[in-house]
Amino acid sequence: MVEAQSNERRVAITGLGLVSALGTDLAGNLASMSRGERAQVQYCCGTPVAAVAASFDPTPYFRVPKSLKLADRKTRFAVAAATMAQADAGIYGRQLDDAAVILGVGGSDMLLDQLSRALAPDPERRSASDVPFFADRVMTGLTPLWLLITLPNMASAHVAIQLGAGGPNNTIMTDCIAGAQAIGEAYDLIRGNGADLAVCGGSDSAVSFLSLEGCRQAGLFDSGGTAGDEEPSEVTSFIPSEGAGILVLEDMPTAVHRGARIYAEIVSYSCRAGGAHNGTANLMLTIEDALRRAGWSEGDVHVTCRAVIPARSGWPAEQAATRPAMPSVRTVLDYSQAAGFAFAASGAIGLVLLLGSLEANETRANIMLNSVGISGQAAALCLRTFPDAEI
Amino acid sequence: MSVTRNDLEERVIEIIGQALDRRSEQIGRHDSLIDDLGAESIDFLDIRFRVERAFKIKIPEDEIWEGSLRFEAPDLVDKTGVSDEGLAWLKGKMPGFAWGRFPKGVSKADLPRLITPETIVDYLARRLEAANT
Repeated sequence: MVEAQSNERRVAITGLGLVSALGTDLAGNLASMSRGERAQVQYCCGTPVAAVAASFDPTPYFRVPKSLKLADRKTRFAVAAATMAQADAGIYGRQLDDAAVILGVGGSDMLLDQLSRALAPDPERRSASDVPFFADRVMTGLTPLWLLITLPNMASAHVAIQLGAGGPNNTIMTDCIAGAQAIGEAYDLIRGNGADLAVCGGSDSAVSFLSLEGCRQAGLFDSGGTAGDEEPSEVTSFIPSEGAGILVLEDMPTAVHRGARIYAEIVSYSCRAGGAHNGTANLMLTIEDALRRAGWSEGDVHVTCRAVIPARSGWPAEQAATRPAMPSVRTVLDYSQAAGFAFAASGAIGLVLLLGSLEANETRANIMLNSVGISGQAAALCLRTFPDAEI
Repeated sequence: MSVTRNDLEERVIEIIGQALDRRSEQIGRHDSLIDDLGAESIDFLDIRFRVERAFKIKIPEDEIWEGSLRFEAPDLVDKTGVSDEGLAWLKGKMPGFAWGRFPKGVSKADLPRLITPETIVDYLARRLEAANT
């Protein structure tokens, strides 16, 4: 994240791709939202969960089909959404030799089903304290591809492989802000001449038993959750979900020269750890920093797109989630009510949905995307649709 | 329960198909796993694991691949690669293999390219026979 310099390049968003619990492509998501639909939920660990439809088929998006066996759910979502974004940008099949890939992802479910089976022959739990025993009895029962599937950088690696993107490649794991941060880092990379084109965004699948149980133990659910799959008596505002939102970013003159559709221009980015500040305070500082970098005041923002975990009372982020972070903003988009909250993918999914919606309605807007994580880290970006004609 | 050669071939081709994302009918007994079916090093790991699971055996590293060929023909390889005698033996054993891809002979580095579904079937047949006796 660097301060603006006069010789820096401008950055355009020219492609969008989306897989969410509301639909398996951008058009499907927008149509569902316009009809006021919400993702179907099922109950797991006592909380409603919005999962991507079982009918989602990643196969057409994998140029190298056998790579599918190396891809977990979040990687499959990322590859699918990235391919959609590439096509949407009008560069499908184009050589992307120097293109960057920067993705924000959540943790893996570690192939828990396979891990459980591998642990089954160890009822005495000897593997918990005997590493050689663990290696011999447990690890040998796992597919030798287990590590390759569960490594956190696999999503960005597979997107690069499938798209043929040979430039800088980065994986960001900063929980709920990862998707927004990935977009910001890609913006900085292009701005600083590190790449001409970047595929960026977020992907996550935190609807596994392991993730949900972790959330429950961390007290993220209103109801506290239960061990079963029954519907809780208390209504929760937090619907964990999954999916991927991917964007194509390009150097503005290049995009204009090739006649690309420009959804928006990113005009500033800020990302802060917060230090001694709590999440809410840090989010406000980060928003102020992004506004300052853009040369905007709070009143210049027309739409705020928030990616903030709608957690139960007591969590630092909770205030930001329930109180508009910017009271003067006309519209606050909270897509999580429709598609659920997809953790590391949330900021990117929200932005893709917002930009797609604004494009469909030919609406001009200044946008603030902001996000704060459980750890208090925050990211904010300022964007404007219909960028200035003078490039 | 005895397993016929045909059963073995069918099961091995099914396993290779799963590992390489190919339909069984796309896989020939004498196809090179590397040259014809596009297998990479991690695919060999995957295939070996799937074979172990399917036949409930442990396979020492490399035993199923070059080791299997060497078992059948210990003098297959000389200092530079497959000997003339070894190549003649292989051609008789693998008539459907596209030998034209080795116009200058088979070097040591080429050995993995000789691995076919038939190589795995031969290995399994030998292992299962040994287990039965």
